[in-house]
Amino acid sequence: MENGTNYKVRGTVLYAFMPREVDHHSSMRMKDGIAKARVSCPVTRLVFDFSKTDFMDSAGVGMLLGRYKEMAAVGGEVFVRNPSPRVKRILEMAGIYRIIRDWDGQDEEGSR
Amino acid sequence: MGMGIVAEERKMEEMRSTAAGTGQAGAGPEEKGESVYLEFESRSHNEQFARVVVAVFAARLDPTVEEVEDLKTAVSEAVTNAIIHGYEKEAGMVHMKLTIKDRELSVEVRDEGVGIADVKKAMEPLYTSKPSRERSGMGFSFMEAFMDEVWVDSAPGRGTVVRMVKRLEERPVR
Repeated sequence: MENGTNYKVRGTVLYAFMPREVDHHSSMRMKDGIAKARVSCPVTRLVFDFSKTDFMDSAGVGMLLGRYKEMAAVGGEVFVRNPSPRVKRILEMAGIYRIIRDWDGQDEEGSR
Repeated sequence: MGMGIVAEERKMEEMRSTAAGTGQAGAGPEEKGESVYLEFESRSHNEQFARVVVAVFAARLDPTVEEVEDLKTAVSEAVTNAIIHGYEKEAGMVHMKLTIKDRELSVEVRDEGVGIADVKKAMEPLYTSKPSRERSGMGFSFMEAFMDEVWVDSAPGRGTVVRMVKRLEERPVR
């Protein structure tokens, strides 16, 4: 999948490996993908991995905020990992870092 | 739907003949600029298509990487608005016109959708007419942040036109 999202679960951490372009089109798919992954296991932390992403617009910001609200509602947390300078700038402009932190691999194997 | 293109071509033709009639034949792109015009269906995967088109069109100005990213983001926002809000009730065509004049790139994104009753409110940061749809409400803020000028012309039932201009940095002649 050239512009798809992959998911990986480790313990209670869900990693969403973001597509090359995070726009309205790909965000709609991710919303469904993350919902499905969360049904299959109890996730307490959601990590958005931006390693492959070189484009994100306000629709992507909306998708992140939506997932943040869902996770916060059950006491969970959301993180971002490895954003490109451009993605980081978009996140900063949108004020995302006020509610979502950088993931530094904190005890990823620890909590179950 | 094809009328848009025909009308546009006719206008260009008139502009050309007017220029010729007033002794300005052969006026280069410095005078009138050059344009591309396209229309596409209001499907979400065309957001990517529109971004690619503006990036390729801008390439002839030898833009910086950041300028290309700014243009792609602004176009993505305008086109996504047309698809999600303009044509929320029924699908339609999105029209995009790109013009280069000197080092100024203009973008016009037009739809014949539902239109906006209160443009000023729609452009406020964080405002969204669709809170349930996970919209961040930052679309117009991003357009304004990444372009030098943004105008919005809209009325209920009459569709929406977004016009944006970006002035690219001067580049050394190679």
